[in-house]
Amino acid sequence: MSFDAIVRGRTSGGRLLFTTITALSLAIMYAPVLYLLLASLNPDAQLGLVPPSRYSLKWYFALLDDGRLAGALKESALVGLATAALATPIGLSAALAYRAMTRLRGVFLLVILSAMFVPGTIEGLGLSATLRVVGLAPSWVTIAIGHLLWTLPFAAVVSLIGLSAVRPSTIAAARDLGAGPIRAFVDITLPLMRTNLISSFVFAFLLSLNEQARAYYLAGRQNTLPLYMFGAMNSGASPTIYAFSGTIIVVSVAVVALVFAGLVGQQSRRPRQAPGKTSY
Amino acid sequence: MSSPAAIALDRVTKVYDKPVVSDISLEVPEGSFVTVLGPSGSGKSTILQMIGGFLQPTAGRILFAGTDMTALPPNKRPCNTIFQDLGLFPHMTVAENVAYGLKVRGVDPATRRKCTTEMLAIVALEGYERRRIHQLSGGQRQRVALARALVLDPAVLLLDEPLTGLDERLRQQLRGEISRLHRRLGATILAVTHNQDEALSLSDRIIVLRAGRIEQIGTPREVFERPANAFVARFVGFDAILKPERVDSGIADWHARVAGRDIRCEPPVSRDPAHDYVLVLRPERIRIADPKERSDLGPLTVISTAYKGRDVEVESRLVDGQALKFLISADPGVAVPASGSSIEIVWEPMKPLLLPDALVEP
Repeated sequence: MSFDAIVRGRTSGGRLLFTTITALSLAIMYAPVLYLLLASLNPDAQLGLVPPSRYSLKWYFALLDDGRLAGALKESALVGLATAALATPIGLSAALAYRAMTRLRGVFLLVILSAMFVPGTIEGLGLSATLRVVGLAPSWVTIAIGHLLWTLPFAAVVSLIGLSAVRPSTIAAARDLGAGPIRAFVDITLPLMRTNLISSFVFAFLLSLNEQARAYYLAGRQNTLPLYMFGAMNSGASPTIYAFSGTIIVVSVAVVALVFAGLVGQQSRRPRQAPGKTSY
Repeated sequence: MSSPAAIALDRVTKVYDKPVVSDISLEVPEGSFVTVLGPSGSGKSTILQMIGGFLQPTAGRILFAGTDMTALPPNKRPCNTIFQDLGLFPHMTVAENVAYGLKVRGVDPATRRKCTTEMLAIVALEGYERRRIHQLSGGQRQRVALARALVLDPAVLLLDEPLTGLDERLRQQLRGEISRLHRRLGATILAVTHNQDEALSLSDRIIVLRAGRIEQIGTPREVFERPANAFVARFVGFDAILKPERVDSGIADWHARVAGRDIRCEPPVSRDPAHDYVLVLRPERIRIADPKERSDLGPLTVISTAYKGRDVEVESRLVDGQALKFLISADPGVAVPASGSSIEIVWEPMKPLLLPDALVEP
């Protein structure tokens, strides 16, 4: 049994080894999340072994009665949707600009991507001071502005990847066949980038939903979800917090899974088209 | 008065960091098939892109049927391009691809359907209407691209390396297809290619390009048999090139001296005081002389031989050190000379051409 064969997973021993490593890595990655889910069903679980009868959804039902939580949820949804709705087209514009540029492309990309690495607290503090100078009172709008700055580089990267898959010759062909620049963009570029634009929107929404450092400085009287959680944890961990974390995990996974399934479904449906659907 | 050319380039120049196309003037007559032939980097794709409207010339004018359209964008020009990678729309069906130009023009759906069906029949793709591009073979994709352009009945069809990247069988099939469409539809076609066979078999007229300048314009026969200089000669297969010690003009024939031998040559068709003359020969028309036969050139020392399927390539050296490669038949009856042996060669009844030595830039 050669070393090479083991490394390539060609022997049963090699396969077992790699399966174990993979399983362990995944377990380590997701253990904290799963533990949180467990605790949300039974807050006592964190103290040690308990009879299974004490697992219940009662803390999830308690969430529904929590008015502050409902407010935070609404705020986060509003901020997330506004952020995603703006970050997606602006990210697309950045990608288009990058493609059109002949000089300073590298600098342009670097400037966009650098925004990913600005520490959230510093950006939040700076933005909060700046917006005060401008006279903008803290509200969901100010949070959305902060989140836009945060999500833009990600949206731009997702759009850039999508755009790089659009062959320049397809756009040239559309122009050649009589389409003006806008028509070619709408008929060719946008449909070919659809998958990436949806990803860009979802990505920006989820990033905004989980962002706390910037929101901390920019929020008005109404907290977002992470801010609410942070506050609640500081005043002692309550069972509802676990239930709430559980909700976030389940919802996030569900959204990503839905989008992914939708995209995969769309891809596999593509070749087969219903009769009569051809639009000349 | 003849009608103006379908396309005319009037002293067109394109400069990036340095000139890519320099002061080119050419005409594509209505209904003709013109090919721009040149190696990569000769500026032929740049010319096509300027005609298509994708690049603006630095100087000069581009006229369609006598009208200056230099400043118009691609969508306002009466020509359509078949791009080298075709540029088919992967998110549309075959029918949607073909109908796209009509749709953009605002043609009603019934007419679009009728024209698309007709055009797909012409390129032998009936029944493929609802297929996606990724479900088609390379040859079928080429035909979709042709149909998509031809359905608009363009004044001029531009082909960018139409047969490059296809296997030999497909290339021959498509070459026939393009030729048939050209005759059937009477379309004016301008193609660019680096492939001499493609140019020879398809075109009425060939424009040989090098480094952004025209080296020769002529019919395939003219270019193939009377190349203007050594560059064109090598490009169309005159690979055997000899540098003479001196050249004497004559009335019927000219005489050149190579390695001490006097060689009768065709008088040069073009004279170019910037260059010396070279002798060019088709390597497949040279054979090894019988011992009793009067030879045209020799002695040569055989350096090596290489089997090439139909031919055997012989690499040899003259007494003055010049190398000469030529091809002999690979038939079993023809003896292949041993490396190191001394031979004499014959090329009668062909006479070498005397051409300006334009292999290097003046």
